[in-house]
Amino acid sequence: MNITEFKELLFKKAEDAGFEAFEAYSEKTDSFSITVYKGEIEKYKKNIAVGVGFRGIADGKTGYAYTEDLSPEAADFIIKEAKANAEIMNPEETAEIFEGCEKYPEVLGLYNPELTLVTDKEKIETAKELERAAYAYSPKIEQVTSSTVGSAETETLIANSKGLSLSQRRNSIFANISLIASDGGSKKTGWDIFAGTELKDKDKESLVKKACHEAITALTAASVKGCSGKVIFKNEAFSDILQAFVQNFFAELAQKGFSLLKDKEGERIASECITIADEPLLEGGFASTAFDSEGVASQNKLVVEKGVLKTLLYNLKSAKKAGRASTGNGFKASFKGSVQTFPTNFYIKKGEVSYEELVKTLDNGVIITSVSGLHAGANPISGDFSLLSEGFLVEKGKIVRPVDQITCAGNFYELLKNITQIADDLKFDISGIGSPSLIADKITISGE
Amino acid sequence: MIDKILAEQILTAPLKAGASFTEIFAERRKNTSVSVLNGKTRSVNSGIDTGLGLRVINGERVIYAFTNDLSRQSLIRLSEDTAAAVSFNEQGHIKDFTEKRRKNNHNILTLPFGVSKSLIFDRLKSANEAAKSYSPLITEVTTSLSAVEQEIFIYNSEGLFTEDKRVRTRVTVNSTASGKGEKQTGYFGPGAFSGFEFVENLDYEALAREASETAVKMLSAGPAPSGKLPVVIDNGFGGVLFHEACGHGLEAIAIAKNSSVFAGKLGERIASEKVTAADDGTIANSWGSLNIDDEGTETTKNVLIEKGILKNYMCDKFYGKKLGLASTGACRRESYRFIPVPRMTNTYIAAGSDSREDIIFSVDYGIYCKNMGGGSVNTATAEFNFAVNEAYIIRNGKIAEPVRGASLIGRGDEIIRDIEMVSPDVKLACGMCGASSGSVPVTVGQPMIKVSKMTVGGKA
Repeated sequence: MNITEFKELLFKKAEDAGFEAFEAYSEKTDSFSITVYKGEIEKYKKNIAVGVGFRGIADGKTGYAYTEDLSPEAADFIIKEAKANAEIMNPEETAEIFEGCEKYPEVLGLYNPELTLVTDKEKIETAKELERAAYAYSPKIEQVTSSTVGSAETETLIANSKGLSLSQRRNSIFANISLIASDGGSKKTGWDIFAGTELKDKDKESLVKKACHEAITALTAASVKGCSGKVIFKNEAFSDILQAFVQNFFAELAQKGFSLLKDKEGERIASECITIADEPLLEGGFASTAFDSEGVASQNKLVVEKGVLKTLLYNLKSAKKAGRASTGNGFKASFKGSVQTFPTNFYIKKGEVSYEELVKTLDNGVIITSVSGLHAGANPISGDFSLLSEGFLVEKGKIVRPVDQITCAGNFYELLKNITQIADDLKFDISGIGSPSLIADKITISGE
Repeated sequence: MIDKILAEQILTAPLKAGASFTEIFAERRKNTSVSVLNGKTRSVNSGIDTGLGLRVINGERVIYAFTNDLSRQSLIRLSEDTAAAVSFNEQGHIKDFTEKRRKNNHNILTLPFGVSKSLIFDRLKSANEAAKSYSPLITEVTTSLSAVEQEIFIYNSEGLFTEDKRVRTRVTVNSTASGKGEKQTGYFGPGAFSGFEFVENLDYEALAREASETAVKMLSAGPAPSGKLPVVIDNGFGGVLFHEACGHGLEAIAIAKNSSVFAGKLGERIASEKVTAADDGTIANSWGSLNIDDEGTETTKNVLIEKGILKNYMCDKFYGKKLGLASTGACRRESYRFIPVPRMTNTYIAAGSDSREDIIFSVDYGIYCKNMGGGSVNTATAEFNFAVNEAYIIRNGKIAEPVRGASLIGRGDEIIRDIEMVSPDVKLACGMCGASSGSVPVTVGQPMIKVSKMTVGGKA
C-alpha cells in the first residue's frame, strides 16, 4: 500500500475502534550517499524509507503508535497498540488534535528543484575531488579517512480527523570529510561538514580548508596549567554547548520541573549582550519550516532579548497548560515519536566586534575551538558541564600555540550571565543551532 | 519474511554484474516504551520497524541499499539498482542455501508484547514512588521501560540462511533533587537480553532509591578538583573507561583503516600487566549479548588483552579479511538501515587480585568515582572523555566528602598503561553505544581499578 491508501485504511479502523479524534504523520525519504577512500568508491548507499506515526484520543486520553510496514495487518496492530497505550496514559497529557491555522507562511529555500538534476556520477566526482584537494592541501595530510557526498529528499504529510491536511517537501545535499594529519610524531584529526540545497565551489574549498587546517594546526598542541576566568568560545564550540542545554528553553520540560528557567519569563536570565532568536522562517535555514508537527503555523520570535527571557518554546499542550498560544515548536523527532518540543533555527544574535578583536580583548587566556562528549559531560538538568576541549592559548592578545587535553567546566545558567562580549561571526550547525564567538567569564580550565 | 527463491534472485543480480559477495539482512522489530513521571504516565509508544538491507561487496567497495517496501517488485528493483553500481571485478557465484540453526544461549520467558500495559505501569509506578519517597529533596522522578522483540533473517551468496529472535528489556530511573536554586540528578538503567522476567526479578525499588541517593548527595557536594590526580573507578559502569579508552580502538574497522593507535600492535605490550580484557558476546542473557551477529556468525568469547599483551581485535568478516583475521562474531548494526561493522558486545576488564580496601588505602589524595556517565573517543588520536556522575575525594587512604561536575580525560594508550591496581569483583552494566553502524546495546564492565594519574576536569 502507498501512504495515502494506508492512511485511509488507518482512519477507517481508528473510527471503528472508537477514537474520538486522530492524526497520521508520515515521512518518506529518498537518500543517496557515496564515500570515497583512496580514489575509489568505498561505500555506496541508496535508500528509500517510509513510516507512519499515528495518534488518537480515546476516552480523553492520547495513544501513540507507529509503523514502517504499510500492510493491513500493521494497521490493525498499531490501532490496537494505540488504544492500549491510551488506556494507561495520564489524561493531563492529552494533546489537542489541531484543526489548523487560517494561513501558513511561505518559507524559501526548503526545496531546490535543480538539486534533482545533480547526478549520482557528479556526486561521486565531487567526493573524489574533495579527497584530492585534501591530499593536495599539505603533505602533512596523512590519510583522508573518508570523503562523503550525499543527498536526501523528504516529504512530510500531516492529516487528521479535524480536517487538517498539510504537506512539505524538502531536499538537501551534504558533503563531509574526515582526515588525519601527522608530522611524523603526533597525529590529529580534522573534520567538517556542509549541508544545504546547493553545493558551490566555495563551499567545497572551505570544507577542505577547515578540516585540513584544524588537523594541522593542532599537531603541536599541548595541555596548559589549570586556571579559572575568562575564555573565548569559538562560534562552533558555543553552538554545541547551546545545543546541549537548549531543552531548558522548552516550556513542557519547565512545567514538569526539569528546567531552572521555570517561571522566569520576563526576568533577566543572561547578560545584557545576549539576544536569542528562534526563526523557522529564515530563508535557507537548516531547521526552517512552514509548520510544526502539530500543524501550527511557524513564526519567528525572540526567546531572550538583551538578557531578558521573553518566552519559552511552546507546543499545543504546554501552551494550553500556560493559558497562551503555541509558539509553533511542537515537533516530533521522527514519525516514530510523540510530539515534544524542539527549537528551529535557534541562535544567539551576533555582536559588533570581529573575532580578532575578541582575541585582543581576552588578552591572556584560552580559546575553546571544539568540545567533545556533550552527551555525557553536560548535564542539561543541573546545567553543569565539564568537557574535553581543544583550542589555543592567548598571551598579550595574540594566539601563541594550540592546546589540547584540557577540560572546560562551568554551569550553563551561570555561563549565560557571565558572557561579556560577542563577536560578529555567527555560524549555524547543521541542526539549525547557531552562535557567534564570545567571551565568557568564570570558566574553569583543567589541564596539567 | 523473504522466501528462498526471492532471496536468490535478489542476491544474484549484483553477482552477475561482478560482485564477489551479496547479503540480505531483513528485519521485523516491535518496540514498546512507557515512561512514568512522578507517578503518572508521561509517554507510551509502540511500533513496528521493518525493512531489508542488501549489502554487496565489490572489491574494496561496499554497496548498500535498503527499503521498507518488501514487495517483490520493490526488492527486485533494489537488487538491480545495486547491480548497476557494481564495477566488474571478480564474479561471485551463489551457493545453495543451507539453513544454519543457531544455538540459543538465552532463555526468554515472557515476551514484552505479551505483558499487559497496566502491569508495566504498576511496576514503573512503584519504583517511581520508592525513588520519590527517598527524600523530600527529590522533586522529579522518571521511571521508564523499553523493550524490543527483533526478528532477523540473513541470507548470503555463500549459501548461508539463518534467523534469530532477539528480545531485550531495559528499565531506567532518573531522580532529580532540588534545593537552593540548583538541581542534581541520579540515574540507573539496567537491562538484559531477556523478556519481562528481567523486571520481575530485579529489585527495581532499591535501585530507584539508589538513584535518588546519588541526586541528594550530589546536591550538597562541592565542585570536583581540577588537575592530574590518582583516580579510583568503581566496578560496573566504570567499564566505560575501557570501552572508550581502548575498546573502540580495537575494532577491526579502525585497525584496517590505520586510524587507531593500536594498529599493528598484535602480540605487543599495550597495557599494564594488571590488565586482561575480553569482548564476550555469549554471556547468557547479558544486555550486549547475541546468539549470532548481524552477519550470521556465532558470537565468541574474544580475549583482547592478556596480562597487558594485545591478543586480538574485534572482527567481522569484511574488515577481518583485510587483516587476515577470522570473524569474532562482533559484526553489528542498529537496524537494516546501516552497513554493519565490527563493534563491541559485552566488553570488560577481568578480575585482578588487589582488594578494594587496599586500592582506596593506597591513595593519599585523589578521587573515587562511584558512578560513571557516558563518554566518547577519537580512535585516531586515542583522546577520550567520560563523565562522572557520583564522586568522592580520597584523602589519606579514606573516602571523604562528595564532589560533583567532573569529567575524566586522557589518551587511551597511556591510560591502560597507568592502571596500577585491579580488584577481583567484576560487575557488568549496560549502555547504548553509537558509531557508524548506529546505536547498539552494549555491556561494559570491570572490577574496581586504580589509574595512577588522570586529568580530572572539575571546577575547584
